[in-house]
Amino acid sequence: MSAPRLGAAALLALALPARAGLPPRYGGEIGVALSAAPGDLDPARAGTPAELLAARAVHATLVEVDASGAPRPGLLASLPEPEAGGRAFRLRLRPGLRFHSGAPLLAADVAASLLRLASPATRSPHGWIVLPVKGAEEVLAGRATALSGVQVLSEAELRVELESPFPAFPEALAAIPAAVARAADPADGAGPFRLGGDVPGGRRLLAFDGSFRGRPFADALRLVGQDARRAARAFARGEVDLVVRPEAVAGAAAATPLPAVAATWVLVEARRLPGQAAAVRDALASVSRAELCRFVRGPAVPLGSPLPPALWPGEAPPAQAPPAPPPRPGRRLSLLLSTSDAARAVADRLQVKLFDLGVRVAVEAVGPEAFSARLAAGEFDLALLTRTLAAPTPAAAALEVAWALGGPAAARRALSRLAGADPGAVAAEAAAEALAVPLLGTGLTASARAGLHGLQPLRDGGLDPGELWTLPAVAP
Amino acid sequence: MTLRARLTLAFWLFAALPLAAALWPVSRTLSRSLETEYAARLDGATRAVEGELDRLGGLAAAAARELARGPEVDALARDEAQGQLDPAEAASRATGWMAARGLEVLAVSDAGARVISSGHLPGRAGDADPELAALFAAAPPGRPVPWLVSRAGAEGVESSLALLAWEPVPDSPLRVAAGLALGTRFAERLAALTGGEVAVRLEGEERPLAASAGPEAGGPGRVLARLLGTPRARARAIALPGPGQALGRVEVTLPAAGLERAQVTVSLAVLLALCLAAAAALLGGHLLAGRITRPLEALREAALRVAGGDLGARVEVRASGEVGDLLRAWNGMTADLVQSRERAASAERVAAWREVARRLAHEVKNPLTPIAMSVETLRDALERRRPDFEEIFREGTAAIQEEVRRLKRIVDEFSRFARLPPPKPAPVPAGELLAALLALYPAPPPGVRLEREVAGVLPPVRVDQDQLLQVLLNLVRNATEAMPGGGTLRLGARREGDEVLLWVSDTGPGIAPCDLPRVFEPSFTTKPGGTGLGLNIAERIVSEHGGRIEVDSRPGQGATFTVRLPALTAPASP
Repeated sequence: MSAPRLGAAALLALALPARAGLPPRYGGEIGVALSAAPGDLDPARAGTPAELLAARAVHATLVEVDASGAPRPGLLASLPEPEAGGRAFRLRLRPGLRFHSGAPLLAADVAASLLRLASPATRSPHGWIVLPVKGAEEVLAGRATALSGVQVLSEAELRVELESPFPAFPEALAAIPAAVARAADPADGAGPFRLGGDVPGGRRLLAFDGSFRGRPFADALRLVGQDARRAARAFARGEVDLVVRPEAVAGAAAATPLPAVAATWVLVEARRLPGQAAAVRDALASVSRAELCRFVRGPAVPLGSPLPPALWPGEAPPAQAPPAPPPRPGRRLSLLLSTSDAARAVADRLQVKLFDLGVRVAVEAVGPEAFSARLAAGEFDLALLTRTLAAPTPAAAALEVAWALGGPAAARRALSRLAGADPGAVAAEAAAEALAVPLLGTGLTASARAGLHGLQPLRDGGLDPGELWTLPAVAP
Repeated sequence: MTLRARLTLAFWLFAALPLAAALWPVSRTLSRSLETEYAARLDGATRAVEGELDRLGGLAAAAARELARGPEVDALARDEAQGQLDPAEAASRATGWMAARGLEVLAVSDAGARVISSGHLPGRAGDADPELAALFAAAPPGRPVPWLVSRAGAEGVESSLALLAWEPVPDSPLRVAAGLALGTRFAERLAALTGGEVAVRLEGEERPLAASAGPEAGGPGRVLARLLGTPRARARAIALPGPGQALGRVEVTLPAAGLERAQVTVSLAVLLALCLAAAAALLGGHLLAGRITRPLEALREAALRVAGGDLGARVEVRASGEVGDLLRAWNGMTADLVQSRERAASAERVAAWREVARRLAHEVKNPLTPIAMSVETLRDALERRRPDFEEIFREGTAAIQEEVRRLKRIVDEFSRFARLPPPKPAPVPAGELLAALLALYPAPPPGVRLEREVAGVLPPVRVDQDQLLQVLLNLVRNATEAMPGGGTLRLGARREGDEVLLWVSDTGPGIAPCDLPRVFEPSFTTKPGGTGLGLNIAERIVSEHGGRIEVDSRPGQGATFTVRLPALTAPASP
C-alpha cells in the first residue's frame, strides 16, 4: 500500500470516533514522545521533525494550509492579495493578537520574524522563505540589517515588496518556520500552547487561551525526546499518550503514518570528480530506491523527483534505471553524511551497491555543523542529504529544495523559473544543477494510545497539537 | 716503482693473502651457526602462527554455533517465519551481536544466502551474498575455513581474508556465518606474539591484504650486512587453503637485526684482524725491504755523485755477503779513481807549468834583446863621446823603459794566472749576471752598438759571480778589440734543456778555422802583445763551475763565445 493511501486510511480511522458522536473533550495532559528533544522552540531555527512539531505547538503562522493544500488566513485577517503585478503583498493582522507573554502581536513583530529568517545571526535553515523579498539578498549576505522590501504601515498592517513576482509567497508564509515570534524571546509565540517549564528530556506546554483559534483541547502538552527503546517503554507504561517517531510502537491503538516529507538526496560534487561525476551519478541513479526504502524505519517512499509525493502527488514513482556501466576507475570516494540523520543504513546500502558497480566508497559521518559547513564549501565527493521540508505547497517546496541542494544562488535561479512553471520541473532542474540524485522520502508514524483523538496529519508531515484531545484512560 | 716498494708489496701479499684465506672460512662457519639458530626461531614463530589460526578458527566456529542456538537469532528466525520482521530494523541487529562477541564477520542469511542481517556488511541485507553462498557450498557446517569476504571499513568495502564458520539455525532455514578477519589486528597480535612481522597475502598477489607495522631495520649495519652477503630476514608462509586451491598465505618474518648484528660483528672482527695483519705485514715488509735495498740505494747515490764529478764518493753503509763485497769494491774503485785523477792532474800541472815557464822565458827573452842593444848603444855612445849622446840616451832609455813595462805586464799576467783562487759558488739568477756585466761595462766604445737578448725567465745558476764576471768581461773585451772599426756587440742569455747559455757575439773579422781549436790553449793569441792566457783562464773558470765554453766563428762573420752553465733547477739525471 502506498503512503498516500495509507495516510487516507488513517485519516478515515481517526475520523471514526467523531463520526461515532464522541464530542471533543477539553482538559487533561497529553504526553508526546518525539524522536529528539523539542529544542529551543525558535521556529526560525527548527529543522528536525521534533523541532517543527514543537514549534507548531507554540507558534502560529500568518497563513495556514488546509488538507487540500489551499491557503487560508492564520494570524492574518485575510489572505494577502498581490499588488503591483504580483510584486507586493499587503498583510493585515487579525485584531487583538497577543503573544503568550501578553505582549501585543504587531506588524513590527511580523517584520522582525521575517528578518530573523534572513539574518545570518539567526543561522536559520529557512532563508528560502524570505528570499523573494526585496533586500533579502543583502541581509543574507550580511550587507544589510533590514529587509528593504518590508514596510510596516501600521500596528496591524505591513507591505512586503518582492524582487520579482512570486504568487506562492503566501504559501511560503504558511511554513512553520515563518511563524511570528517575539524577537526578544523566540519561544514566545501566539500558538495554542505556551511554555510551561522544563521536564526531563523535554518541555511542558500549557494551553494558551489567547490563541486566535481559541483554546486547545488539552490543558497541557508534555513533549519529550526519546530513543525508540525508551519511547516504547514509556508508551507501554502509559507515561506518554503519543509517540511520533519513524517506526510504529508496539501496542498502539492506532499507528498513523504521517506524510513523508523528509527527502533524502545524494549529491555529487562535480568539482571533486572531474570526468567522473556523470558516471557516478548514473551509478547512483541505477540503485533501486525501492530497496533503499527497506533500510529505513517508518514510512518511506522512493523518490522519482526531488519533491516528495506528499507535496507533489502527481509525480510517478521512479523507474528502475538499468545498471550503470562501471565508472572510470579512480580514487576511493567518500560519502559524507550527518550523524544527526538516520540515514546511516541508506549510506551502507549505497556503499554496497556502488561497490557492486565498481565504485569504492567510504562512509564518513560527521557532526551536523561540520556537515553543513562542508556541504556549503563543496568539500565532499558524495553527500547524503536529508531535509525535512517545511514548505506546505509544491511551489514553496520547489524553492526550499533548490535552497537545500544548491544554496541561495540555486534558490534564486529556481525562483526566477517558478512563475507559472511546473514546481516539479523547477525542482528537477535544481537537482540536475546540483548533480543530486533523489533517493527516498521518509515520514513519521504517530502511534497513539486508545482514547487519544484529534490526530490530523498535516501536509507538511506534522500534526496539529492544538487539535489533540483525550479521554481519560480506562482503568483495566 | 722502486725496488723497495716492489719488495714491500711482495712481502705484504705473501703475508696478507694466506691470512685472508684462513679467516674467511672461520667467518662463514660462524655465520652459518647464527643462521641455524635464526631458522629455529622462525620454526617456532611458524608454529605460533599456526596455533593462532587454529584458535581463531575455533573461536569463529564456537561463535557461529552459540549464535545459531542463542535467543537472539531464534527471535529473528521466529519473526522471519511469521513475516513480522522489519527489514530495516533486522538489518542492523547483527552489528550489535558481532561487536558484543568480538567478531569481525557475522551474517545471518537464509539457506539461499540471502542476507537478513549483516554486521560486517550491513548494506548487503536483502541481497543474496555470493560469498556466503560459496561458503555454504564449499565448507561443512561448524568447520572453520579461510575465506575471502567483503567488509565495510573506514576505507569503504574491502576484501579481506577471514576464518569463517557457519552453522544452521535449528528448526529454521536461517544460517549464521561468523568469523574473524585475518586483518591488521590479527597481524599485529601475531607480530607481538612472535616478535616478528606478519603479513597476510592473497595467493598470487604481492601487496599484502594486511600487515603488522614492523619497523624494517636499516642503517649502516644492514648495508654492511648486504655488502658482506649476509642474507636478509626470511619469511615462512603458512598456506590458507581455499576451495580447490590455496586462497592465500600468512607470512611471518622474524627481525634479522640480531642475526645481522652478530654476523656484522664477526665480519668486522675478521676484517679488523685482516687489516691489522696487513698493516703489520706492510710495516715488516717495508723494514725488511729497506734493509735489503739500503746498500743498493747508497750505491746508486754514490754512482750519481761520481757522475756529477765527485769521483771520491764512498758508500758508508754496512752490508754483508755479496752486497758487502760490491760496496767494498766500489769504495776501492772510487779511491783508485781519485788517486788516478790526482796523478793526472799533477802531471798536467807539471806540463802546464813547463809550458808556462817556456812561454815566460820566451816572453821575457824578447824584451831583453832590445834592452841589451840599447845598453850597448848607450855605452858605445858614451865611450865615443858622441855629440848626440843626449839624444841617443833619451831614445835608449825610452826603449828600455818600454820593454821594462812590457816585462812588468807579462809578469802581472802570469802572476794572476798563477794566483787564481778556488771559486765560491752561490745561486745567482742568470739574468743578473748580464745586468752586472752591463753595470761594469756602462758604455760600448765608439762605433760599437750593443744589443741585449734575454729569452724569458731564466733559472738561477750556482756560480762565483766575480769569477764569472771576469770571464764575461774578458769575452766582451776580446769582442770590442776585434771590432776596432765598430760593429755590433751582442750579449745574450737563454735556457736550453738543463743548461743556461750566456753568449757574447761580435761582428769582427772572426777567427780563422785553423786557429779555432787552439783559442783556449795557454799562450795562444792572435793579438799583438797578447799573452794568450785570457781565454785559457776563462775556460778554466767555467770548467770549475761545472760548465763549458764554446766558440763559433766564420771568417768575416764575427765570432760567438757561449758559456754553458748547469741550471740550478735542472733535474738530477738518473
